[in-house]
Amino acid sequence: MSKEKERQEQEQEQESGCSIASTSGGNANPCPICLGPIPSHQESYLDRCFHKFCYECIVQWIKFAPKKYSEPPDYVTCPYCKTENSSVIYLYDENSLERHYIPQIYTDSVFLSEAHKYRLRSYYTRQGTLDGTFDVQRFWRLRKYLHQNQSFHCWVKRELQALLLEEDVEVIAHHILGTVEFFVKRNGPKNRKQPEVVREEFRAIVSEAARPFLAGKTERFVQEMELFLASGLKLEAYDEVYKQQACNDTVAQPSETSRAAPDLFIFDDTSHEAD
Amino acid sequence: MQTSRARLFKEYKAVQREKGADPDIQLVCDDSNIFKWTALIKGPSETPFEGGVFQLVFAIPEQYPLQPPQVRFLTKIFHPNVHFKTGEICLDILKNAWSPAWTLQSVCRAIIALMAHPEPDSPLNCDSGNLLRSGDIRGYQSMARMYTRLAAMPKKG
Repeated sequence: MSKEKERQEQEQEQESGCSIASTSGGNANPCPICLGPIPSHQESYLDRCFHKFCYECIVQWIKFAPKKYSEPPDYVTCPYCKTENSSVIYLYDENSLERHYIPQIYTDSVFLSEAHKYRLRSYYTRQGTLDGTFDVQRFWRLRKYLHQNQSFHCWVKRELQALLLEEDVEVIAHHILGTVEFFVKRNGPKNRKQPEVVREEFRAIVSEAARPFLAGKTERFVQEMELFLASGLKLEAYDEVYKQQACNDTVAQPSETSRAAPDLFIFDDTSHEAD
Repeated sequence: MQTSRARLFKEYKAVQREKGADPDIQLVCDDSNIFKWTALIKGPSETPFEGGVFQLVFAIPEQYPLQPPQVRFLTKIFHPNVHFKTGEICLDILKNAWSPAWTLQSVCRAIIALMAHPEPDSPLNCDSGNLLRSGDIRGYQSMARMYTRLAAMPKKG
């Protein structure tokens, strides 16, 4: 066998070792388009025949196929069984799903960057990976929320874009940022509340603001927001740390696929007393 | 890694793994270029191509698997849907009916099926198509068998 192929083989094994895909997809049901395992954040299926594909793969095919028609059709023929389907179901969990109709997919601009994709991916991995990296307790104890993080606006916008797969999130971002601002004003430097109480209040108020848009992903969104704020880092630096940690975590515990219960996070560490 | 390259590499591994699973098809990838493949296929039994071994060449486009591979016969064959000079193949799945769920291996299988079931109504080889369309099955079979002997079988002696 030639050297090029051997090298590719090694590269590919390294890739899969570090990706989240390797824990869940398996080789049992590969995507018929790329023939690879379907990463959990990419899982999608067609609405009539229920055949599964990587979201990126099926979208590529949907965008490519109509070149042979004079007008783009409003359906896609399943590559596997030729059934005509009118939409792709995507990003589903117990609580919510995304449904993309075919004409919508043609017109979708490609705005999702690599950063968006990694953010989206992180919502489909076990949480708590960065618990030890950023000290959330300390953030609340020292009232660090009073100092504004310059990147916060960018972070919220990007997070919403990734989760909603929508480019224009200005209104929702404005709403959430306004809510956080209101919260900071109300809990100014003079408040005498316990850090845990302030934290609970923050979680409740942000959840309420975000829930109509993010549904089942709200809790995780609020936790991710806490993590980002606690980090005090700029966007790029935060991404670096996050990716590194997430990668280490998947390598260390390849069998871990279940998501921890959302609320365990708060009770993780109660031994800290106020300074 | 490029999508087409990654996918071809997966197919390459599958071919290595399932070597001999289909005794009628032998797919080989070019040593230095993963976009170039050749295949040897056995003529299906109870057809004039029985006993012959036919060589196919694949040129795979950058857009694969969104675009179909280009396949042609390198071995001369007398068949209504194969161009006698260029070896070009007229087969819907290699044109409009292509789907990315096909693989090089399954394309080979489709070509074997086409050898056994010619479509004389969309001929690339008119002489061959006309024989079948005029009902001269015997004429078609003897011509096809002759070319199989001449081009697709080891020379005797």
